[in-house]
Amino acid sequence: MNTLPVQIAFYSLAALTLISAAYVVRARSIIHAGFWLLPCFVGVAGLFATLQAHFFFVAQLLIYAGAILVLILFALMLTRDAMSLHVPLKSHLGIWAGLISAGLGISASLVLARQSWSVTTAHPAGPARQAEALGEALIGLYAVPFEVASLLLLSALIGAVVLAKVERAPAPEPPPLADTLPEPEETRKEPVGVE
Amino acid sequence: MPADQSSDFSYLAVVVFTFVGIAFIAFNLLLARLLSPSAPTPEKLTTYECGVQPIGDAWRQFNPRYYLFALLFVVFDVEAVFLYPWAVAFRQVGAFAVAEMLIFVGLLIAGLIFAWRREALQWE
Amino acid sequence: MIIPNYRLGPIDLVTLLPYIAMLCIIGFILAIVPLLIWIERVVISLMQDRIGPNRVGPRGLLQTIADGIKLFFKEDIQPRAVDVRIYYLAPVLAMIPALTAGATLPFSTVRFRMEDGSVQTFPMVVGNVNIGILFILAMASLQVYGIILAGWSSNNKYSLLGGLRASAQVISYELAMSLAILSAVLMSGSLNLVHVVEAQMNGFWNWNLFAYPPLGFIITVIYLISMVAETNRAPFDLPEAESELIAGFHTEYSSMKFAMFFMGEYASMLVVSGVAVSLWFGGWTSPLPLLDFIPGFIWFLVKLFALFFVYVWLRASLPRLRYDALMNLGWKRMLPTALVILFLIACWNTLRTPQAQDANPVSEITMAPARAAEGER
Repeated sequence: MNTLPVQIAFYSLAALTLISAAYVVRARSIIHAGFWLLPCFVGVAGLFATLQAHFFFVAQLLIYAGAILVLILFALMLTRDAMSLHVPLKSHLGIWAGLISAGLGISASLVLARQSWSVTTAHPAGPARQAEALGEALIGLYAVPFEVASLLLLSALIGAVVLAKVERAPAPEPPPLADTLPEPEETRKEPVGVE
Repeated sequence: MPADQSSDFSYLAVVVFTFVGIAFIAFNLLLARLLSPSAPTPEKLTTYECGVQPIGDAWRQFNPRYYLFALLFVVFDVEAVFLYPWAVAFRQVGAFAVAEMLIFVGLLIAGLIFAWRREALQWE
Repeated sequence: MIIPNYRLGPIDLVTLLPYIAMLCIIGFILAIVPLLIWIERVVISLMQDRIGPNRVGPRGLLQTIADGIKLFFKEDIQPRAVDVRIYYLAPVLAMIPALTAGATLPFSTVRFRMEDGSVQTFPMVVGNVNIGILFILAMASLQVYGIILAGWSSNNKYSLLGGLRASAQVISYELAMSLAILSAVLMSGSLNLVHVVEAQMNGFWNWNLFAYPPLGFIITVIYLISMVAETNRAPFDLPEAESELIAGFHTEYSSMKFAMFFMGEYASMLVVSGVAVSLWFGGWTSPLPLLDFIPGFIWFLVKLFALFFVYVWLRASLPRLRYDALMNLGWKRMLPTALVILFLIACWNTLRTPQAQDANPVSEITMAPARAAEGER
């Protein structure tokens, strides 16, 4: 698989991923950082494609680029003051963050380097076969983790509903139509049941 | 063509096509830049809010309800992605696969019903 | 129609096929989008009992082209408050996913006479990426960023509101859409659009629309509704509601940047309609076996235009939905229905397993140029 086009694709995608990841960290406003995640995720998806992991390529696009990033952007847009470009991001924890990331990076690469990777010369299965094999594994060998994943998703769903659901007061009686017209001063000061 | 390039080759055509598309869009935008007149006035460059002078910028907090729907979307999207390989392999396995899928989807339907009962799906 | 496989040095026609398909798609989009807009205006005029475009060219046919040229000469206003880079990126991102998705949509087959005298059939598609449906779905999910970026970067309250509304709508209906596609995969047992179309050959009664009656029909309707909602078209055009949001996320876009959003909308309409044609209406195959002599791309086009007519028909007949009704329809009606139908199809499929053993029939169509990929199993 080490043909020249694949090599070029690999290095340019790796560059895309790394550079946009750097921009995510460096961005002045948090919403820009969120936008920079898009090329980062797409680059990772492309790396899967160059590795001929076709199903993961599409899953990465669908889940990370298509769903999780939307969630992140929505979260940013709904947070007070996170959206504006004029609220600068300040953090005094830069050094600590750098140290921790460096430590994690070094330990991860040590583990990866020590691992003996089984390199096969066998040709990877075709894309259709890959999805099929994955499905068979999910049904057969990994049936229990598959169902546990469902349980995990269920708990995420319940958590989301419980967290996002603000306790709602009973809906106020809708005022009669005439009330929407301008009224005398004293009646308008009456507290109106608006949330 | 050697067999191992086959699927990369298909992606290559898609990538080429994407770049042709980007070039087409860039060409159009540039051509419009060259052809169109430019006579900016301060009024013309204000944000258009029906003729009313805009107050502040638009980058404000919005209704958190959108967030809940995005969260629900992520959950069900992951579920759909799990189901695709299942759908392809399904015919080889048969009844056991259906039972397994029933549990998988059933749990999520239970979640959906829970959200429904808690009126989380209600848009206000 | 059998074409000899002309060869020039190392390059033969079969190798060039993806690039020929590419030219076809680009030419098609450039030529058809003006025609589609014209059709839409004329049909809506007829339905509303007025004349419609009739000044430029015969029966107003050149009206759209005149509009396009006009857009080139319109002032390109860049409002002061926008976030410039993202503001320019948004129209590009609105169009690219639709185009890229179109690249994996097979729209016809070609029969070539090879060097050894045998006749082989190849699909007309730019990139036969074998998990074609999922790739198109992934591209459809990236469609939302053009809207979000435009809405945010415009720095206009209406645009941002429109963008948020649009993206919440798109993600809600994407679920129903992906479940509908999933049931088509279940019916055909393949993620490759060529295989899905092939399974529906030899007559309209083999279409997935009529498979597992009435489940196929219901799931088709679910797909069609979510397809209209995905593309933000009437009656789901809330993000662009003129009366409340001016024009939604593209309020601040003028000149060619606006045209890109417009073209992107039509391109994605074509792509989702093309997916619908391939999944439910038999793709490029003819509805009756005795009509097989008509080339595949003509059938594809006829079906595509029929679906486009449905789009226009809906726009002319239905009022815009209220936002809570829209969310209710997506989450409380279509999503549960799609899940239940998916399950019913799976059960049905299991009950008649003895007949369904030959899950992946040997394809008559060669996967060009990935023709070796299948053989390696």
